[in-house]
Amino acid sequence: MNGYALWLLTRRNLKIFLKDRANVFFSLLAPLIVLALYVLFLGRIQEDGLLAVLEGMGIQGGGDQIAAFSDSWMLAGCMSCACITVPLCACGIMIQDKARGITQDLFISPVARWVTPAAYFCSVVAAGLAIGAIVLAVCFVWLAASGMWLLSLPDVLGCIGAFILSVISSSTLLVFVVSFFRSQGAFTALNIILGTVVGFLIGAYMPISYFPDAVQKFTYFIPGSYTAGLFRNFMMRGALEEIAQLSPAFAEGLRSEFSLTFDFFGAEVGISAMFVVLAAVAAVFAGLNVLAAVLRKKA
Amino acid sequence: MEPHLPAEGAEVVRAENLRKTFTLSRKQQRLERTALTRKVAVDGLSFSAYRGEIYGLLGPNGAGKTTTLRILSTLISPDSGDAFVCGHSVTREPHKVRDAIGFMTSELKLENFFTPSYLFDFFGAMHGVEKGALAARKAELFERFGIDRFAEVKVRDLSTGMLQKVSLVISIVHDPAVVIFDEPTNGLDVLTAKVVTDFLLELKAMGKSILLSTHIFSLVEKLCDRVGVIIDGKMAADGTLGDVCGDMTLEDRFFEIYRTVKGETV
Repeated sequence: MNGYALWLLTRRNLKIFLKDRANVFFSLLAPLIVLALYVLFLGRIQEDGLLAVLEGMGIQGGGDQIAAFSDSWMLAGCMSCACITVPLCACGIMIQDKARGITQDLFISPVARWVTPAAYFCSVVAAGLAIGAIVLAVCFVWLAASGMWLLSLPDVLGCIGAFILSVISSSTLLVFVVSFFRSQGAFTALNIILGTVVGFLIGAYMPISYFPDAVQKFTYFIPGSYTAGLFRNFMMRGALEEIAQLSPAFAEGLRSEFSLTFDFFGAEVGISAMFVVLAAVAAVFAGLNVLAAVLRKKA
Repeated sequence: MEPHLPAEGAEVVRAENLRKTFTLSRKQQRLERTALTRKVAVDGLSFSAYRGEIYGLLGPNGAGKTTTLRILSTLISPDSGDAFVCGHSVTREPHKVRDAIGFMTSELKLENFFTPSYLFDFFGAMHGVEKGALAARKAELFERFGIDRFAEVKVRDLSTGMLQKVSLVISIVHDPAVVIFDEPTNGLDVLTAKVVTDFLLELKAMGKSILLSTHIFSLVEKLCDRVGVIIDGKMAADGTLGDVCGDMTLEDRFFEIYRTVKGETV
């Protein structure tokens, strides 16, 4: 009975999220802003800047490789934002139900207490995966259609793995945070603030290395930075290899400037460590969600 | 289809010395003009309600009515004491209690995108009602309350009165023996309030036991067979309307009780 109720509730929550087209649109606002800024001017500025550096090193050409690198960087940023903003908007149903007293009705049905919060979590993950999968597909189509497809099969599988883990990780964190919110107004404020700053904090608008040292260090404590790091590693690897054929030193410089690896207080954080960080965030916040549910029940 | 109904006249709800305290936030302390950090919401409350009657908990705002109903609905646990619904303890057998009750408020909680039919089926499934029985119950209740013609109309296109009916019918999807209704007509316009009061009388006619909270004297006089007057979390009077009021009106009797308990006039 509890398993069936979990399925029913998850499906209901997901339907409510997906039927609200405005909500779905706003969940993709941050990735769309990244895309718009890139198309309007960021892409051009970045490509021109990198080409100028290459020219300064006495290397001619490389326009296609730089374009592929820049596009991959932008798409990695879009994808990273989507892994955070879509689950965040999907959390809105928790607040909506609370504000309208529907949570109370659900708690009164004869199913175990854990079913309702678990269903919120499952629907947030499901919404993140459903919408995020579309964004990821669009990213792949973009790269293929623009003739910049430099991803190998392991890169594609890596992107999919990073995507799934990132959605689960951000969902556990966001469900925990949003569970303390009571009003729609407070949640909207969180949505606006996070939606606005997330692109900066994970280095989607500009590389984190452009920020002051203190801000850079702060971003290493944000799980989204590791999501972005993973997507960059998988989406930009092929383009970097192409650039490395022009100049290995330049490619190596780009790896650190565009945060493909982090220097976490002297320790280099690579792909495996990024996966571990995201898995640890998911595990810690899953535990905190369970603890909060137990404490709420006791209260 | 009456799987949950106890015997005629049987005790269906029994509250035994219920006590519940809450921690006051600083904001609540300011609002209540108190330096105390804890508030006793329900203080040793005991009463019984019987099958086929409407029992009203009457009291001013903050008296502990809603807290009592939330304890009976298993939404919150009492600090001490216990309550029994159809013989099941709210503290030890909350699942069985939830199976036996329908909990309603006057708020509309329906999502705009869905139809009454979908929502009825959803909550029916949540309550574990078998598909065949659910279809039969939907047909019966939708016809009885005139919802059948609007069963497939989206909630956003329904009138307020119809929305209220849908909301009420969904609350009894699992055919509960006991219906708990917190402030049934609070904030409703007169037409919708009539829909609700007629619905409650209809439920009573169907043999359901109804427990409601209110601060409206006329509602108690119109609907309730028995009344419990709560002041400051304590039961100040309990019995049939005749027992409690004697030859006074309910309003006069209430304020007399209030003066006696609080030692002050309103």
